[in-house]
Amino acid sequence: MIELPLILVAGILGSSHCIGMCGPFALTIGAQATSWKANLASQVLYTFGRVFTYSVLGAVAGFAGLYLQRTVPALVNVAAVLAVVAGLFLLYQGLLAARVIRRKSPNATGVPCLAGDFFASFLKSPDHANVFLAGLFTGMLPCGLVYGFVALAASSGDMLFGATIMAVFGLGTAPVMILTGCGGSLLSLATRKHLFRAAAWCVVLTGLVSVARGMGFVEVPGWTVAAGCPMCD
Amino acid sequence: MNSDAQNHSGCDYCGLPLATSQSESDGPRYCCFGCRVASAIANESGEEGHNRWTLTRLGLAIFFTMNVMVFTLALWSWDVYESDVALSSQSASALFELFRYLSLLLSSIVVLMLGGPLLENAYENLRHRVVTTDLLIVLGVVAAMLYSLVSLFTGGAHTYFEVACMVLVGVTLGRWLEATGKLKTTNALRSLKKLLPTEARVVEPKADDNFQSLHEALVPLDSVEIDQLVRVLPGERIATDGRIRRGQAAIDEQIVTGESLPAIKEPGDEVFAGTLNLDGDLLVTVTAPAREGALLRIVDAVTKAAVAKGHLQLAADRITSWFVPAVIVLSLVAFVAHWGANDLGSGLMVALAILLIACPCALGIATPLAIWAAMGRASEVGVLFRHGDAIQQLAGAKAICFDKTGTLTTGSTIVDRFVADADTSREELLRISLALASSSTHGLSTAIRKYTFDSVDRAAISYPEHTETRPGRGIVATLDHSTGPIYLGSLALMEENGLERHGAIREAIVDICQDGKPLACIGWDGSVRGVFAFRECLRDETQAALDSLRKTGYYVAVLTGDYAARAAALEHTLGIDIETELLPEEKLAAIRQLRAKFGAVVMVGDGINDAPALAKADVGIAMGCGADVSRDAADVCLLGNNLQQVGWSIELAKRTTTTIRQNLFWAFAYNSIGIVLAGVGWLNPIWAAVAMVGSSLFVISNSLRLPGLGEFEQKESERTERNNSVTSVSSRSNVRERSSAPSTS
Repeated sequence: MIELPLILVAGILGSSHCIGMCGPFALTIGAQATSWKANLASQVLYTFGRVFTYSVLGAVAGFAGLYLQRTVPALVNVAAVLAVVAGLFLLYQGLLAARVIRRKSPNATGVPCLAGDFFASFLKSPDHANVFLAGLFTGMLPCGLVYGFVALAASSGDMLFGATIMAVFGLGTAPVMILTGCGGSLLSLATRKHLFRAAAWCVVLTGLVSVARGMGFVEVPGWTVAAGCPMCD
Repeated sequence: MNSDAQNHSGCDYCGLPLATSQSESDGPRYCCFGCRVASAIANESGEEGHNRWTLTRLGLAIFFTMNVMVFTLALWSWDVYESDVALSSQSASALFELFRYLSLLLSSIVVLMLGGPLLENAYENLRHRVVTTDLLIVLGVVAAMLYSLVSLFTGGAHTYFEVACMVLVGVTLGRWLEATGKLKTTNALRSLKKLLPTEARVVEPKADDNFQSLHEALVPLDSVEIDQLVRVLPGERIATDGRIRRGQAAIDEQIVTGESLPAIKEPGDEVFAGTLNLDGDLLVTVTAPAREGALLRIVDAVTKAAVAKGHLQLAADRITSWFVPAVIVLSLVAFVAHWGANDLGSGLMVALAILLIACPCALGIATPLAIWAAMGRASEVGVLFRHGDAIQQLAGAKAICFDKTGTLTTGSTIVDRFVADADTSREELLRISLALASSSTHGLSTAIRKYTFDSVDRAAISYPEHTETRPGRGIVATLDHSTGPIYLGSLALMEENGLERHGAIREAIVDICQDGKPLACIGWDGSVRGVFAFRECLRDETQAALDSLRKTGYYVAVLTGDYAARAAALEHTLGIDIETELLPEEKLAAIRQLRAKFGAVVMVGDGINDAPALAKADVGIAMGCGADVSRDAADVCLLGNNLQQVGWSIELAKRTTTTIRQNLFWAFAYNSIGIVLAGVGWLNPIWAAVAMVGSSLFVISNSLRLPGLGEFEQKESERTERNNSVTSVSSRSNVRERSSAPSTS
């Protein structure tokens, strides 16, 4: 079970990545609050919404993993393959973040984002329900890091464990995001850069572990049957 | 005019035409459920302090649905895969039941939150005798809830709480996104409209004190009346059409005339609603009601164009009109069939899946969204399509005809060459010509002024003591008492006054007359001393515009009533066929011939003397419409005079037609494949709901990509001059525009 602590660390460190993407949302919510206490409450509620979505995604992914395992068990060990796929995905995301590999700049097609209006209207209104919902929808924003861990959750093949993986990841991102929302930037740009590097390598490590464990259990018909799921031993 | 257009125009939220003409004016009208929801959200967010219940309701419904989905998945995972483990223990069994009841509780909340508005919309449509699938979807959802409820209490195996939730969320979210997408296609027009100030500064001058003491009051724009005086400060937009009474200013009229250089306006000049006063304090007499100002005329023209349905749209409408009842019948049949074959639950699910997957939302918006997006984008760059069919016809055109004068040429003349008598100094001749031409505004005088202005020493000019204009002949002037009269004008003027032609001058005149070019002579003391030959001035971009059209594979021709001799030079310069000396009816015959040879023909003209040809062609494009957008003959109006807009419009039309085809193909394919899958019972209503959102999103984003078409090339001269001149004025005016409304004095 070395993943869970590692996931937490990846979440904590990875949140320096979150500041870039989701920090502005936290700040927008902070801007509406009248006192720092109210702001803190909003930030916690916002984070709770985010973690909720991550957990649901984890649970759904866990179910999908389970479904795949039961549907195509005869050919390969699905859990192991999923673990390898998730690991490779995390590896890719980590290397991307560490700038070891580069992606082509996203192709701007000029299509306005339709969900933007929807999302923005929650961010801008101050009451608690909307702050929570803003967090809920932030969790659904496309994010490579989240997808990586969702894939990991799928490889668990278990709804509860999938949800746990994602919740742990989400909670890991909480401290820095809450701090950002409350006090702006506590960390200097240089520190954040170092953290970002560290986070990237942490994601790479998580990916490597996942791939390694998955590889150990990849089952080809005719080979000796390895018992159990790679996540549960 | 505007109120008329409002009667035509559709939905109160997105502005798209309504599916039916609803004559009753009972409150706001919406084209779809999405617009109803979106409008409720927009209204609530507009009023400060009100809770934004509609949006929060949708958000919370999504939250509860996520819960229901997780519970359901948990139930499935035990039910299907781990039933042997999970149900063996007492506590697991209790948990199983708890999850089922929690699903019931949470999904009931979702149904109450989202079912209401959907039902309300279905009822509204029914009242207007429009059959939609909304009603049946709500009924299906309620039936699924009831079935699950009974199943839960009687120990049945299947519950469909998650289906009810997902269907409602999918339908509501999908329609809401659709409404937002539609709103975005009309953004360009709305932002044009928003340029008009909401108030005008009405001025009442005290009697006969020559505007010295003014009483000003800010008045809502609608209550400004004709003949009232309105004051417009520098940096403000002019609110109504009018005539300048006092003051002068540089006015940025690009929005109305397409001309990017500011126009200098003085008392007596016409100004247009929506144009920007850059630097003058103006008093303007209102000449048209606020609702009929130039800017709103443009907006109205586009709105009306969008309401007029093109033939593709009509075809889609016809299909939709029998499609909906057919789908309803089909789903009822499937319901009965699957109920008979399996059970009530699966019958319900199949019927619901058919209703969702067959919902013709994508089909309904496939054409209008693309057309609207294209028209909106076009209106931003000063191209107005008068109707949607013009876009489709333009896309299919193969031959393009141009009028010559005023279209390929600017309509003004320039000096082609000047031949001087051997006995007289060229410099002196030009100086005297400039001195005489300065007293006249005639087109040829202007050309002479331009030609001579930079090539003579202006300090040495002695302006005439006495000038006399002889209409149709020219100018006669005396420079001082010592010399006799000097003549500048036509050959007739020279002959009448006994001026003779010798040597080089005589040869030059014969030569020029053979070319068919206009000429002007200057002479004194019994002989002609110099002769100017003129030619028409080509637009800067003419060559490039024609070349790019030909390169794209169009047959390009010029139809003109002008003399063959004059056109020959142009033919040589441009390298294209020019049909000359055509009478108006011969132009029509030429268009007919081209149509027989190539197919659809586009005619580009200035819309004044070539109106019949514009009307006869498959697509007529009128240039330089400016504020006069209602020229009837043309299908497309170019506000400005840039020929590059022709190629740009064709490119836009082609892309739009491709987009429409893609949209329609997608909508048909999706619907027909979906219906088959759902009818066989292979499609869970949840996937149908998700697919419905996806299908609409495809059509919306495909259409919204259209505005991404770049700008056409600006005229070289405009670009540089604009950079030089406008930056200085507009930086000041922008500051003014942003500042708050001026206070009353």
